[in-house]
Amino acid sequence: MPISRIYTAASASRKKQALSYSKGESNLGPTFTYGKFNFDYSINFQGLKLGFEDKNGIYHYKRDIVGWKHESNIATQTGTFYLQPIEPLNLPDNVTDFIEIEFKEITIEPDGKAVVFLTIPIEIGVFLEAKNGERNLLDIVTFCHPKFSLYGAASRGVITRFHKSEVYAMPPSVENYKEGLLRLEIENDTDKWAAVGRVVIYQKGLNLYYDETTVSACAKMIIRTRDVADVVGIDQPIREGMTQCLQVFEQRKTTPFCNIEGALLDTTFTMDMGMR
Amino acid sequence: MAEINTTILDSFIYGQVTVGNIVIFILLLVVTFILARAVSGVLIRTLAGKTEAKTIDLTVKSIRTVIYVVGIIVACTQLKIDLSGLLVAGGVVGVAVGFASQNTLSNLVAGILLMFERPVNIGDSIVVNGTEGYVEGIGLLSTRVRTYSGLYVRIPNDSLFTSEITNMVSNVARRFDYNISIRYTDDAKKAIKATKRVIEEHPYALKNPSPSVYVDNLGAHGIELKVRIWSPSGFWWDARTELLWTIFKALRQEDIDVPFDQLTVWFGEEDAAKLQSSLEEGTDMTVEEILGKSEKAPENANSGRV
Repeated sequence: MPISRIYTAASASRKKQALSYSKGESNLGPTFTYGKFNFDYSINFQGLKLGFEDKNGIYHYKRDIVGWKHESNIATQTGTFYLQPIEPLNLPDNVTDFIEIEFKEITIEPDGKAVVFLTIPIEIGVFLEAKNGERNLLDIVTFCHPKFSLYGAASRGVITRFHKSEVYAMPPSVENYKEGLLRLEIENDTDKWAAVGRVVIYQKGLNLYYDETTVSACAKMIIRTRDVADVVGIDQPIREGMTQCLQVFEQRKTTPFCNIEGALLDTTFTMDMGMR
Repeated sequence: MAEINTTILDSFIYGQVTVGNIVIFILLLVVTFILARAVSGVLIRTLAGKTEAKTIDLTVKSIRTVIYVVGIIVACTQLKIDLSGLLVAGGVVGVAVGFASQNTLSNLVAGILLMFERPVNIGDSIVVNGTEGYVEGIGLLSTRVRTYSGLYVRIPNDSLFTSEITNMVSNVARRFDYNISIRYTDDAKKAIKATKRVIEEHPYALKNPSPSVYVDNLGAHGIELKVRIWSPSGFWWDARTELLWTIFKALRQEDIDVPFDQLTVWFGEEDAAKLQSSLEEGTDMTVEEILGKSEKAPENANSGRV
């Protein structure tokens, strides 16, 4: 059954809005099951072997993904763990705070609006949770090949986690262990035609959600001039019933998004070095 | 009513000091206190993240003390306290101390200027006067650098300020180059394709600016390829150390190899024999063309007959 859009809110205001796109069925093979599990868990999925062994009260965590291994011991009586999609900014190292998605150019009419779907790379976080709710990140794995890029000039640009995506008018089926869907709302606030071929998002503002088949996020891009646009993440899933993911990401305290104490002020990134 | 107030303010408390003087004295102290607090706040905000916390603390306390001293001296004039002797003595001491600590003051001023100009930050990888390493701390008088081999180097701020500083990580991305030679018998186009494929797979080789691989020179021993790669400043060394070997392995897989330095020695008899055989086979080419098209071109030959 093809994925169909039941309701869109393209004409709604900028306020948080209810969106719903039907789940449909993935025709891309098996889907990865995210959620909360007990320590008797073990999985062998698309080359990822992950599981816990009980060794007299100490759980031995083992992970292997195409020869890339990690092992750890966990002492817990009542703990559980989560497998959740997380922002793709941790592997191979925490290099940047920004994600850049390049896509086929879209030209938008003056004062026009477009809602498109792009794919975003994801990583999978393994979180431990104690009885008191305290969480700890145990491991991160990914099925994606990380690639970085530079948006702007070397002197005043930003390093970005690069991803290339097709443009979809409707949410496509994606492999939920590799990629998520980004619902991008583009508003052209100018009185001229504007072309957009990339979006750079400050990841702290981008909240991921997941359900059985899909990982999603939403963002908004407002074109201010022909070469300048503001991009901000919107904290909402693409359909109801999705669960919000835990965030691993800790922003650098010296970014312009924070005050002197390091508190996050704003998550809007101004793309002032072109959008193509 | 105003007259009564004026009378109260003009009434003497002791000596020539009136109530008005006391009020102004207190007001000046309050203004001094507020000014010192405000300047401290601005300084903390300005210097935060630019230098070490203890240096910020010392700077703020020093400037606050100076404001207090100046404020108290100005306020004391309201109490008709003659501080001219103290000021003269202070001036003389100041000049003496100034001469004695000329270098120290020079370093201090340079330290303050460095905090504002910020050519380097803590953690940056820099090169100053031949010293290469990471900035460990920026103090008021000196800057501490840990060299790549783990040595501690203290650079006086005056020296740092007047020197040429190369900051390796000031910009978010930087470029590094390789020169790779392949044999004349290898296909340069194939080598470029294989090299680009390896670069594309490396996460720290930036997508934009895109890497550039091209034939840079036809050298004495082989075709010289130039490889230019942009990488995040903090990770360029990782990329540089990993990529060269990976490129080499990829080239080997394509049967492309690095040329060994070689010298082809031509003997006159051989030349003549080859030429004769070519001519006998029937060709329209000149002698120069025949020899020039040969891989073992006579330009490489030892002209001295043995």
